[in-house]
Amino acid sequence: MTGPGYQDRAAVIPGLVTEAQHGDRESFGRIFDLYHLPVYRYVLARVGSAADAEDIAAETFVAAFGAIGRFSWQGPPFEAWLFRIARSKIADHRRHLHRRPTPADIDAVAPDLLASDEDVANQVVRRDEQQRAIDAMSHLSNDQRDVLALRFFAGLSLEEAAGALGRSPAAVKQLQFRAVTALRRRMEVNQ
Amino acid sequence: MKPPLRPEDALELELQGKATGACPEELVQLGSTLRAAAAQIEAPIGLRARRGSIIAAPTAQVTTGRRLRFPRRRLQALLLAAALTAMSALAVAGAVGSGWIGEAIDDFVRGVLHGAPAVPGPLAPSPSPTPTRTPLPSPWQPPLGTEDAPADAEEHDPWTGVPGGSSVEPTNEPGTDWPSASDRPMASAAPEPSPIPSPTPSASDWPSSGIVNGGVDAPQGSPAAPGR
Repeated sequence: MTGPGYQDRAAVIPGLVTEAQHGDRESFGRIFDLYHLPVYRYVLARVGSAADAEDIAAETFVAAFGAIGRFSWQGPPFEAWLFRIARSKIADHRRHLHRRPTPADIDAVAPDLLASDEDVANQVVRRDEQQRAIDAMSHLSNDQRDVLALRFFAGLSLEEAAGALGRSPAAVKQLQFRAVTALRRRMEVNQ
Repeated sequence: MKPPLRPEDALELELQGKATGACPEELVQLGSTLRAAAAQIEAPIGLRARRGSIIAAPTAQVTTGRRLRFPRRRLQALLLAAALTAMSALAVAGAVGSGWIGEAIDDFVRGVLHGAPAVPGPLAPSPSPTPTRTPLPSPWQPPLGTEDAPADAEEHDPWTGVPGGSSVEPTNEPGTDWPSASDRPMASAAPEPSPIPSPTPSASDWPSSGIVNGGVDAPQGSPAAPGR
């Protein structure tokens, strides 16, 4: 995964958020740099369309920039707060479209098949498996898709995902296990 | 490239698999596949290009914590409510100024000024000796005692209610379109002999007389008569 890990982010985010709350635009720009990719991946895993995911991710940051003055450290962590906004934007998008999400096309959003040193045949096989997993995700329940997208696509920790979902970490752990099990069954059916 | 599943996540999936009888390796492999699929996804150039416009957005609310932009939906709702209120006020003002509501208010004010009870009984006639508004008779409800009505009451055509009479004068000649003999307005028809003189009912007679639709026999035939 490119970009800083969640541990690196956790170290710098409090200072950036505080500065952004005092009107420092560049601090929020650095927050954008740290989180735009996880947010985009999460949204893409939920809505499927790359264009929609780009718009929703941008709307998420616009809304977060407008509301960061009201963010409080007494509430859920910043990552949970940010991904709650993203979830809300996805829900608005769903209400607007009234349609079921389509699975993302991994080849459309990650076209650099030959960019790595890995054997091309292995890359093709691996991508096929990844695409099958993404396709199977679209058949899961909304909560199951949500937890998988937060944990594996956005890379949130269990506690951060729990804050974003508004559940306890134990409940999220159970939900994740059911989601992974259901995904495995679904992939076996589709095989 | 090895899928970057975090060690704690892999351990968690493994423990869950063991605890529930599922194959731990399969769960870990599936988690790794998902993480690898996510790692393939790069941020689009368009999203990165929006960074500048996002942080250049109005930021007054960042420092004050207040929204300065008025939500469009709320503004639309307020405009709609204001328009409806204005339309309702215009409608009420028009009804008061020109319609029967205005006349009713005039009657009420005039009654108060003349010392009459402010709210008359439900069936009591108007206490004013010269009613400003004659009740319009209908063909199936001939008004009683209209022969005693003041002469200016004849200015109202009993059929159309238009002051000054209608252009077609109703007659009771044979072959004309009178509904029936019993439906004629008693004011314009020749007075028929009545077994009981029908004086103009006073206010105290109306509630207890039981006269319905002008029938003089109604009290005797009414189910409320004692002994029946």
